[in-house]
Amino acid sequence: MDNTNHSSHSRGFAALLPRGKAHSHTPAKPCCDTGGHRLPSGHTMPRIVFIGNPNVGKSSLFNALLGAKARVMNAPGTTVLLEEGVYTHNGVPWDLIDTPGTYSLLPLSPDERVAAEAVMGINGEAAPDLIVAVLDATNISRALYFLSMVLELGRPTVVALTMNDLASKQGTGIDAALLSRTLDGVPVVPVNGRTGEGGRELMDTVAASLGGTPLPEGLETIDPRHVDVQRWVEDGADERFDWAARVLDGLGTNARDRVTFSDRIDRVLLHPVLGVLIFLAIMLGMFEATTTLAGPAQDWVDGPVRDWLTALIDVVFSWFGPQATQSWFHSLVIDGVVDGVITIGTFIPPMGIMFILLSLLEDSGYLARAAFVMDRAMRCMGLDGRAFLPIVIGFGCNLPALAATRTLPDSRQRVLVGMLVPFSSCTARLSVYLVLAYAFFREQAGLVVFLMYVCSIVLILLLGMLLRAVQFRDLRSEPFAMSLPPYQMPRLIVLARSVLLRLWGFVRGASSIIISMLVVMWLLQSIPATAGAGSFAQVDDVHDSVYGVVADSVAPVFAPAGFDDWHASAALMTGFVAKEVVVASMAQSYSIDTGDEDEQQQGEGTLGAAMRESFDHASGGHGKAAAVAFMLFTLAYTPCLATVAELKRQFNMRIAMQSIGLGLVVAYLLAVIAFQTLRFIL
Amino acid sequence: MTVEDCPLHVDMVITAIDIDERHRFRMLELGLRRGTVIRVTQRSNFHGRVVSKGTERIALDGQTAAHIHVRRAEHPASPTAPANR
Ligand SMILES: Nc1nc2c(ncn2[C@@H]2O[C@H](COP(=O)(O)OP(=O)(O)O)[C@@H](O)[C@H]2O)c(=O)[nH]1
Ligand SMILES: [Mg+2]
Repeated sequence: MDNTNHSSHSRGFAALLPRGKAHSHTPAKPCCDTGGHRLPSGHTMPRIVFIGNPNVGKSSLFNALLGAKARVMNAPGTTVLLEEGVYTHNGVPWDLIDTPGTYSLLPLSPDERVAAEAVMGINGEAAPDLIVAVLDATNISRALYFLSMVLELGRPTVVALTMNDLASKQGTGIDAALLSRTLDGVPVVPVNGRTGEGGRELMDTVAASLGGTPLPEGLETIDPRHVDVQRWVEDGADERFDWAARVLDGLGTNARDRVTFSDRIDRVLLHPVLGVLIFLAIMLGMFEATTTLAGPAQDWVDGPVRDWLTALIDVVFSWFGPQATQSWFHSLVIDGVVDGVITIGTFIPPMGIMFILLSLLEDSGYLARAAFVMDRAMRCMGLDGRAFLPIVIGFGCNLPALAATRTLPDSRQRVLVGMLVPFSSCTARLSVYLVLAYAFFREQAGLVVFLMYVCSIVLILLLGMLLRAVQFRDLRSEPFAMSLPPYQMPRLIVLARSVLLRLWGFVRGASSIIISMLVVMWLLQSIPATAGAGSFAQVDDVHDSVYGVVADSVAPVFAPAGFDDWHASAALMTGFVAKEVVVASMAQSYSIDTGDEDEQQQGEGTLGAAMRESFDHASGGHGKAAAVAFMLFTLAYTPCLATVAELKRQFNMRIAMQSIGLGLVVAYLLAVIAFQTLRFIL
Repeated sequence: MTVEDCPLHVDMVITAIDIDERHRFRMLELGLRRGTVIRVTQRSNFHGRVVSKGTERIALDGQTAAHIHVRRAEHPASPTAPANR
C-alpha cells in the first residue's frame, strides 16, 4: 500500500498549528524524565512515544525496530514497565519509548497513567516530539476514538496501522492512503509487527513528520498541561465518537457480523466446562515442560558441562606450573565463578522452555482467553486470570514462574504475584522435605510431604489476602472487559528471535548478582576463623571458617523453633543460594558421605541418624517438632539466589529485598509457631 | 434483557449500561454504548459472555454482562447500524 503521498505533512504544517512544536522546547525536568537521553552536544534526542490500545502490536513493532537495543525499565517511582531504546535514522539518534497499552487517556490503572502521562508530557514527563499512534486494523473503531484524543494533543503524530494482514483476511482490510486522506493528511503507514514489514517506511515518515502533522477537521488541540484531563476526555467523548464514526464511514469498510474461525475455536476453548478443563491441561503441560522436560538438560549442565569446564580451567592453570591448581585463585575460579556460571546455565533450559511457551501463548491469542477463563477463580484474590500461570509454574521452579508474571498487564498485580511466587514450593525444596520426612517420620513421610504442599497453597492464599489488605489496597476487582484478538499461527522466526532476546536478557540481568554472591559465599568459607583451621582457601572443616562462625552465631536465633544447631543454620545459609544443596551441606557438615543414596536412603541412613541426634538435642527431645519447623522454614524463606536476582531484574532491588524480608519473617514465625505447638504432641 | 440472558447470534441494541460511572465510561471507550449493535457469540463459565461488534470481540464477565441491557435490533443484521450513542 502506498503511504508516501501525504501531501501536507512535509510542508511545515506545524507552523500553522496553534501550538505546534513550541512545547518541545520546554525543558524536561531531568529528575523524572523517563527517557533522559541527552546527546553529547547537550541537545536532547527527539523523543518518540509509541502509544495504542492493548495488544495492537506495539511491542512487536518496537522490537522489530530496535531488536536487542530495546531496554525494559520501570517508569520513575513505579513498577510500570516501559521499553526504551535509541534508534538511529540516517545517522540521527532518536529516543524511542514504548508505553503500556491503554484504551483511554483517562487512566484506570497506574500502567495506563504512565502511558497517558508519557504521551501528554505531563507530571514531569517531557512532551514527546512525535507520537506514533499504533492502530489495530481489526479493531478500528475503538482505535480511531483513541486516535482522536492523541491528535488533540497537537503533537506531530504518525499512525502505524498494524494487523492489516488479519483485517484483509476478514475482508475488512484498510487502505492506508485512504485512511490518511480521511484523516485530512495525518500520515498513515501500514506495518506488520510480526514481520517488521513497513518499519523502515514508518521511520522515514517519522523523520518527515517531526516538523508537524495536520490536525483533522472536527478536532481541537488542547494543551494537556493546562487542562483538566478528566473533563477534557469526558466532555469531548461524544464529539470524538461521532468523529470516529465519520472517519469509519469515509473508509467504507463494512464489518459484517459473521461467525469467524476464531469464534469456532472459542466454542471449545471458552466453553463453560471444556474451556476450564483445557486451560488446566495446558497449565499441566507447561508445568511438566518446565520440570520434567527441562530436567535432563539441567542435569547435563550441572554434570558433564561442569566437569568439562572444570577440566578446561585446570588445563589452563596447569600451564602456570603444578602449584597453580592448588592456589586460592584456582579455588575462587572453580568454587565461586564456575559455580555461578553453572547455576545460571542450569536455569537456561527451564527459562528457555518457559519463554517459548509464553511466546506461543501470547502469539496464538490464547493468553487473552486464559485471562477470561480463569477470571472468576482468580478474582477472589483481586487478581487477573492470567495470575494462575506463574503460581502453578512456581511449584516446578520459581524462576520461570517469575518470568511468567510478565503476562500480567497490571504492574501492581505483577508485583503482588511476584511476591507470592516464592511461596510456591518448588521441586528443589522437595528434596529437603523428603530427607527430613524419612529421617523423622518414616512411615508417614508421604503424608508429611503432602502437608508441606498444602501449607504452601494455604500460605499463598493467606499472604495474597494480607498483601492486598496492606500493600496493594488500590487493587480492586474491576469489571472484566477485554478485547479478544483472533487466533493466529505463531511464526517460528519471530518466536525464536523473541525467545533468544528474552534468554539473553535473563543471562545478562541475573549473572552479576548470582556470580558475585557465590564469590562472597566462597570468601566466607575460605577465610579460616579458628586456630589451626588452615590457611586462606585451604580450610578443611567449614565449621572452622568465617562461614562456620556466622552459622554458629545465627544458630541461637532458631532456639524458639527447636533447631539451635550450627549444622541446621549452616544448611539454611547454603539454602539461600539454592535449596538443592541444603541436604548436601548438611551431610558435609556432619562429614558424612552419602554417595549416590536417594532421599529415602539418606533419611533412613547415617545422615538421618545424625540429624535426629542433633535435632533431638537442640529441641530438648522434640526432634520431630523441630524437623517440621525446619521444613516450614525451608518452605517459606527465600527460595534461591536466582529468584532474588530475577526479582530484581523483573522489578527492582527494593522489591527483591522486600521479598527476602517477607520470606524470612514468615518462615521464622511459621517455624516458631509450629515448634511451640507441635512439641506438645510430637 | 441483558447481554447475559439474551439469545446467541442475534443482533441486539444496547439500551443501557448500569455500572459505576468510571467503568461505564470505559465501556463507552471500548465501543459498547447506548445504540451500539452487538451480538453475543459465546457463553463461558460463571455467565461470562463474548460479544461481537463487526470484527471486534469483547469478553465480559458475568456481572458486567448482566448490567448491559439490550433489546432486539429492529432491522436485522444491518451493517450500517449506528455505532455511536
Ligand atoms: N497478524 C499480525 N499479528 C501481529 C501484528 N503485530 C503484532 N501481532 C501479534 O499480536 C500480538 C500482540 O502484539 P504485542 O506487540 O504484544 O502488542 P502490544 O500489547 O500492543 O505491545 C502478538 O502475538 C504479535 O505477534 C501484525 O501486524 N499482524
Ligand atoms: Mg506491549
